[in-house]
Amino acid sequence: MLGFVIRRLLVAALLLLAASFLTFMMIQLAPGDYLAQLRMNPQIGDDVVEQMAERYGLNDPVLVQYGRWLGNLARGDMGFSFVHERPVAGLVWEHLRNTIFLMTMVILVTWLMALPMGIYCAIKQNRLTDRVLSALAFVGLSIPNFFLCLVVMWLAAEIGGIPVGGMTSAHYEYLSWGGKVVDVALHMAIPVLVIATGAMAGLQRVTRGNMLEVLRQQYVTTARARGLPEHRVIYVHALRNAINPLITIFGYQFALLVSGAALVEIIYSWPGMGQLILEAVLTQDLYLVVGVVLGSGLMLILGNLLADILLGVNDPRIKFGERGAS
Amino acid sequence: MLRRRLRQFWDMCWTNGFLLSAVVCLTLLYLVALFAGFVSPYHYDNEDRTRSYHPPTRIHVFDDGRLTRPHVREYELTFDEDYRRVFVPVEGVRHDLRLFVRGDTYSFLGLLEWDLHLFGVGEEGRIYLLGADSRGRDLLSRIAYGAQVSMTIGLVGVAIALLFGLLLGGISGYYGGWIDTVIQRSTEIIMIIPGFFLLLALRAAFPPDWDSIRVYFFIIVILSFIGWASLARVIRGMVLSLREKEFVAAARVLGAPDRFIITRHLIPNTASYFVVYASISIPGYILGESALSLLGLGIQDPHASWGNLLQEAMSITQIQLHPWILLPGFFIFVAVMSFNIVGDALRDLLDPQQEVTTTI
Amino acid sequence: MRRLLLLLAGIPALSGCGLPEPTGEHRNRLVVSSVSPPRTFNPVVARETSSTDITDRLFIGLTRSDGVTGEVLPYLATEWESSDGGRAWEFTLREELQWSDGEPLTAEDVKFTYDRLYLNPDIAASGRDILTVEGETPEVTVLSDTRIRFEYSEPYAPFPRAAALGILPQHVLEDRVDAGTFESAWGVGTDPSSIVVNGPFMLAEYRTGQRVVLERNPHYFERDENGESLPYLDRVQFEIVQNLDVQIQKFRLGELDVIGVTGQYFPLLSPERDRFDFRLERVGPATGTTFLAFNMNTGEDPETGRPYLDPVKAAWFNDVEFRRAASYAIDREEIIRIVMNGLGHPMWGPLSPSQGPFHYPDVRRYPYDPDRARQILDEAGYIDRSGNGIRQDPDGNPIRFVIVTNAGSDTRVRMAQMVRRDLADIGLDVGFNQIDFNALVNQLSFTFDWEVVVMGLTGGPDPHFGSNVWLSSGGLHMWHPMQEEPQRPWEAEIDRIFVEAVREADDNRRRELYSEWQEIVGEQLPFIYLPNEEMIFAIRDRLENVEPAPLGGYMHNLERIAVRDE
Repeated sequence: MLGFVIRRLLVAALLLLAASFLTFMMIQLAPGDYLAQLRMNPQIGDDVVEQMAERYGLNDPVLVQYGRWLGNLARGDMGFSFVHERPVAGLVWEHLRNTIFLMTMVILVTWLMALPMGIYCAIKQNRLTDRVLSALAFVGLSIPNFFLCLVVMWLAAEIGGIPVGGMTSAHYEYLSWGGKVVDVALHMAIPVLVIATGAMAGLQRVTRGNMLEVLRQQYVTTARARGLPEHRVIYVHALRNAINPLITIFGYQFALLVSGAALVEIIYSWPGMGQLILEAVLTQDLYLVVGVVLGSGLMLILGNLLADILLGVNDPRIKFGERGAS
Repeated sequence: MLRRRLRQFWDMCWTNGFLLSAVVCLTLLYLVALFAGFVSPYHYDNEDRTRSYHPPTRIHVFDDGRLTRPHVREYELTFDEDYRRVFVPVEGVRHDLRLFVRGDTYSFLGLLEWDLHLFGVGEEGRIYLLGADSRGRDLLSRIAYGAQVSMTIGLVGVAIALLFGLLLGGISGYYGGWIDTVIQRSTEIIMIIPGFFLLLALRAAFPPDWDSIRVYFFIIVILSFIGWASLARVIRGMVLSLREKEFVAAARVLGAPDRFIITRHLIPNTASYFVVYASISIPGYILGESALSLLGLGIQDPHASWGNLLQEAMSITQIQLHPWILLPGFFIFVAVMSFNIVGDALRDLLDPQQEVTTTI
Repeated sequence: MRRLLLLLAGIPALSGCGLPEPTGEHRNRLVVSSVSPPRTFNPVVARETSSTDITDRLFIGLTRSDGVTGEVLPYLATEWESSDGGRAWEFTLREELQWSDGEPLTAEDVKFTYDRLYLNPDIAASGRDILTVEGETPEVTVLSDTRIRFEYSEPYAPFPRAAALGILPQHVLEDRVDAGTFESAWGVGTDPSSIVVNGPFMLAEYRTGQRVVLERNPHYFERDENGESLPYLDRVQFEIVQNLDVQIQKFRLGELDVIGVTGQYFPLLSPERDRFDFRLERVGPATGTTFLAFNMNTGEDPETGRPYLDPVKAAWFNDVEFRRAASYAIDREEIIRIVMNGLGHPMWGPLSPSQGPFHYPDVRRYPYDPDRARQILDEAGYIDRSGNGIRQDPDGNPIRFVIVTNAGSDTRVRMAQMVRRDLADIGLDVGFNQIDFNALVNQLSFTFDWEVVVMGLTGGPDPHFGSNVWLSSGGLHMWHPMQEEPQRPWEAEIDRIFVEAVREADDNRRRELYSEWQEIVGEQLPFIYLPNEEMIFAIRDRLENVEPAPLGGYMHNLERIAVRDE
């Protein structure tokens, strides 16, 4: 298994390299460069702008720029963000951290809500609650995140007293420890709710489907026939088997951590990767864009790897190495 | 076989209320898109700046307590001391609501010039069943015209993605070897780059003087470019497993040309998956276009798409002041939900084994 | 598990009683917002307002510009005089000035700042341009600890205004300059205590992407009328909130003390003034400009030999009657009503009325008159001969072009959309597109293949600082940049005015010259100006001495702003 993981990571490194090259090219293909904002400022002379272009190496051929970036990467330097005047690595990490924090909460909420709901629906199959919850799941699955986000923010603004953007209040620094927790929790409430709605609906449907399938299996019938109490049948025998396959979903969710919520983050002004990527692409902040793509690509690969490993741990019939490096 | 499947689907519709309503919704939306000029009372760019942000018009059937023809009242826009828009009713002015009225000309399917509208209130008044936008354009009309973009973008997009996916996935799975490796690695690279970034970066390459039709097709191409990768991988897998099946092996032993095997054996055997794929991934295209337009980079004014109509609703303040500007989002929701329900039903029907998930 | 559920259940309950409130110790504090994070704390390389808004509080210059009138006032210098017809300028510094680390601030620091920083060719200093006259930079001589002399080879009348550039400490930065690493000095990752300042505030903390906190500089020299030392505030906190809507909501929640808003937001805030204890102050039109520009470039790409712009289109755009017709066709009142919610001002010339003494009110106006626009086009030979509703030029080419503006600026986009419609209504086939800002600038500064744009420029305090836009050789002379010789007589005239005005020492004469320039612009319409938004500030009632103005915003007298005791 270790061999499998190592090989997968090696392939992943090559893929990331290729992705970074493609990204580099795409940014260069787009007209204009990051100095545009300065060129439009009447109080900044052309010579200053030219000096900066020279300093940032923007006048060199693309391949030279890419080669230089690659050389720096080999030394562990991901480059420099023109716009933020800072090394990319730190910048990406700060935003990645906020996104991961948000998405961890989303995953937590999703699982805590969706699993019980799915199980409940399976047990009460075709009863009223099941039908209502299944219908709701469809609604949740279909409502576009950005639309739901706008609606919820609007309602929150109408009600008042609930923050509708950002991560902390202005007086965050002066709050007590508990106050800080509550403050951040309140700021997270809307984005978590919005992003979790879709994810929850999906997970609920899968859980319900799995549970139904398991309940139809032979051993459950046998257990029932042996006279075991119904709750034991459900919670001990069926549940475990129904949840096992779900574990892989967890890995894929992890993979979507970074890019899954970009639009909601932007609408809600959450200081995460969505904001960073939008700003970086719009300002053509070359190295930052590449850094962001690398960061989220890495998360995707790790997530898929995690999913595969969990799948293998969960189902010993799967042998590693046979699935190819997908 | 197709007829049997259709029959089954038809039966499902009658037993499953959700499915029926989803099918009805989709049919209605496509009809609206097709007859946008007819069902909307105004042309999409017919503005009346004196009625900026006119709230949804109420249809009255009583006048002075007596039952009359359905009519709307006339309102005049003023600003109060807080600079809020206030629409003051003009006493005694009413406009009768009539069916099949003459109004703005529109072209039907690009063939026929016509000026008949399903309903309207004549030249003097304005009717805004869903309210007006900032320049006093009828939101209902703009949503109807927007349906032409938003409801077709998925169909065309899926068709293009299918074409690419089939071609490349098929080649990859069928021939194997280095071709397979190259294609598979390319799909992986595309899948690694975040779709949101691809969308933005590719959009930046548009020449600005393109007309809306070209922009529309280019957006579709971008979206399918993002979509084909995952499809190609699935198709490759299917082809790989089919290739080992007896009938394919038999055909090959008998010396059938590759083209014959691909068109006669491989494609028909994977077709049911495509139907499911199409209905499930259409929402992704609708949402992709909306996201681009929401950021101002999609279909451009004066043309309407549900996404660019929502651009006005990006400001919470504007929503607080004029909540009806959120309505286009509701249409996106209904369309996406209907496609999901239909896709779900089709999957149950055609392909009970396969679990397909949407990505965007 | 059960405990966790209880905790989750507790959150909505807590939210019922509103956001957690801070304890009362930090009340002498002002919380404002900033649209984007600062990129550096080094004023020499700071370019964006997000950085200069902060560095302007940290570093002050010899002079300052009055936030309300735009007049040049003494700051570190108490007085100055010019000699040699405006070629030499002598400044006298205040006595006993100190840096925030207690070191004395002398004329040597001033010389260091100008010679080694702003005028250093190895440093991409944004201030260098305004210190340069006809390619010449001044020679700086220290006369004594408190006297310093700047000498140009040509007269430079607006120099005292340029002398507002922030002064930096030689004893801290000289090593960095010697080592050639000055540009990266005092970046956003710097330890706040190592930034030595001379302004009313010093940097206390920067939490990346979230907030910048400034605190009172105890060594700041200024005192109020009662001898109490300024600033009054202990702390100023800049919250970084990118989205204006979120700013508004944060203001409503009481987190922010002052925000600048536009007419669109007025109706939401106005009814809540009593409920949330604030006032709304309208201070007049904003200082920047937004305009419609037609590409008049008749040049050719030297590499391919092809014209930048289709000569057919260039011919229309070069026709002043065509531009005048366009200007008459634009309904500015409707733009103000719809886009700005009634809170805006039509603009006719390159200077906003808020821009102080150089604004010339009597430039030619083009009130909305579509019939007149049509008549002008008819007379100039742009007639719809085929009867399809689209006019053609005398050679029979249909008049078709695309208006482009940058995505992301909501007001600008909406104005451009309305202008498109107005121009379509007089029989032109006009398209609209928004592209991202960089792509647009690329067209304006390199490929020159644009047709019509809606753009904006920020307004400087003195017209001279807009030379790059107005001189026909300038890079921002958008309609036909970087001309070797002015191709249009009126461009030659503007060139002459700008060169003359910078040498002119007499303020009245300068005003006359710049009025002439504004008149020419109004006649020739290289830019067709679109309305300016009213600047509005929402100010919490508990604040004292907030005197917002279009030029200086609300922070121009930050050191005098105080929090009322309750």
